[in-house]
Amino acid sequence: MKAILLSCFGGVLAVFSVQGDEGSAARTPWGLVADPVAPLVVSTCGSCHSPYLITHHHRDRDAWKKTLLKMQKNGMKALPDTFQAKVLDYLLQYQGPLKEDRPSESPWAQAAFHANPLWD
Amino acid sequence: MQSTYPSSPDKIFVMVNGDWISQASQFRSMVPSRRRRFLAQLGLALGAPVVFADLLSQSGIFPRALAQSALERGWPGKEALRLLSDRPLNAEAYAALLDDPITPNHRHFVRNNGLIPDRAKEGNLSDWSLRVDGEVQKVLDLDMASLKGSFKHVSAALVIECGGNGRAGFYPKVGGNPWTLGAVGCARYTGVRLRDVLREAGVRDSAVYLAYHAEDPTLNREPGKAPISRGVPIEKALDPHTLLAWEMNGVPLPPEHGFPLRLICPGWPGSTSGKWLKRLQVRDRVHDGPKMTGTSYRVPRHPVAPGDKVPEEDFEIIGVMPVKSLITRPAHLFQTLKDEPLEVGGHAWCGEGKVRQVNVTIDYGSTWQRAKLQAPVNPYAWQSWHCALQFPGKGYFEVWARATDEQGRNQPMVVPGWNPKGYLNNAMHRIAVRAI
Repeated sequence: MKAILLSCFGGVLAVFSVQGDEGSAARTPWGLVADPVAPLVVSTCGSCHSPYLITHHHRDRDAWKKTLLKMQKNGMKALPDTFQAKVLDYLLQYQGPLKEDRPSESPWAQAAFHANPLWD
Repeated sequence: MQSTYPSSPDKIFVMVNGDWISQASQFRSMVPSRRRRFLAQLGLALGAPVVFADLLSQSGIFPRALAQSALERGWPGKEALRLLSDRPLNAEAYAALLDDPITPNHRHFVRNNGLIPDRAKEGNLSDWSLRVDGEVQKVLDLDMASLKGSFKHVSAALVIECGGNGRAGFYPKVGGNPWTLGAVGCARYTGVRLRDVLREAGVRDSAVYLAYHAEDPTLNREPGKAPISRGVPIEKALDPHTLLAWEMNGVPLPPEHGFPLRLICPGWPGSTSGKWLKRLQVRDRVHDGPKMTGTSYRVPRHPVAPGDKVPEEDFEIIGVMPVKSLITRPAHLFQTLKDEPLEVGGHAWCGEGKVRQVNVTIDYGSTWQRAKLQAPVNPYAWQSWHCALQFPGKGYFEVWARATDEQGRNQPMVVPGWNPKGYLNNAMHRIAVRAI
């Protein structure tokens, strides 16, 4: 059953995916990388908030798991374990920690301050 | 040739490969013949608009055609805002589009936690009233006519800034909307003093906090649950500049700004200026509604190292916002002529009192030039500043602006006080300018 559901999501993906520029991954209309699990992520997270919000954040697996738990408290329906694992795999793969965000070996080696960004 | 700057440029922004690009980048350079080369040097590229699918929609998944039409439709009238989220609706202004002394409604940032109530979208006042209860002598039920007819009207230009404005600058990164510079605005609001309404109700000596309750549903429309219900200490509620406003810049509050009535608590985090009001509750304790407890709108009581885990009991509620300023002209990445003075200007504000001075540097802080600073049109309005800069020659420069409040507190250059939720980044605004 789960396999059927997932394949259904995969079918829906064809409907949602948009062509990315040459050399870059195709994206859903919400800016998420369009792979076979993307529709599951879109339907899970997008049941309450815009899936675009996900693209702002880069977290490790534990942090994303905590996010899912927080969302459940906010009304998201709990996912079957298999689906949750796929969602977490997806989030880690495409929205995992950015290289510069990974903790360094010593906690004291983290930047004591961060340069003030140049913004529009 | 004088480098001039349009006073109210209309800009459209498009997203290309995940980056927002100004379609109207030409106003960054008023030297048209050199604009193309400059833009090319910066590697900017204009391209196909992408991005927002379910703008203002309540459903989860769209057919592709509908999604694309929403992408193309954008947010009519608010194309100049950068959308951080379409559900809930969160959008900020670009600094260069905040040049007006009074921020127009279509350039004022929007921060929502839930959905915009149907009443606001329809402009429907039927069956609406504001209840004032709790620690008061007399419970009030005020419809709009009685609110407007019973109390003195006031109109004031007031700054509202999101507590998380600048969050995108924190490192390590933190959760929440990644606001950069533009979650701030100074619009003119018309309404009545909250103090007058509370006096009519008769505030009891037991009053400690003023809590607001509003009509906005949660994102999944959970019955009986509110996305946000915050407030301020009773002293702030009784401040003569804390308003109940029904008008923003001369028109009824737009749906996304809280029609029919919102609180304005200037100088405090924007989340205290509750929208879509239906009830004000005077409480005998600190309010404990959604987004009042835990770590929401709170910062560690003591400074912490970047990335530290902070126990909840070590957090305290944010009150007065810190001193801050913006450079609103020219825009970041402006190109100017080295032999001409460059007019630079913007606004400065702080959560209490006035800004005493604004200083500007073009040499990374080695030397500073004091800007001309206007007095605020009323307390809690931002103050416009400007100065003429002369560059020593051609090349790449950064313009930094630093505001100082009446207590002598400066804006820091680096992103200050990392905190787990990314509040209160009041680092100086810096822009890049190329002199040719």
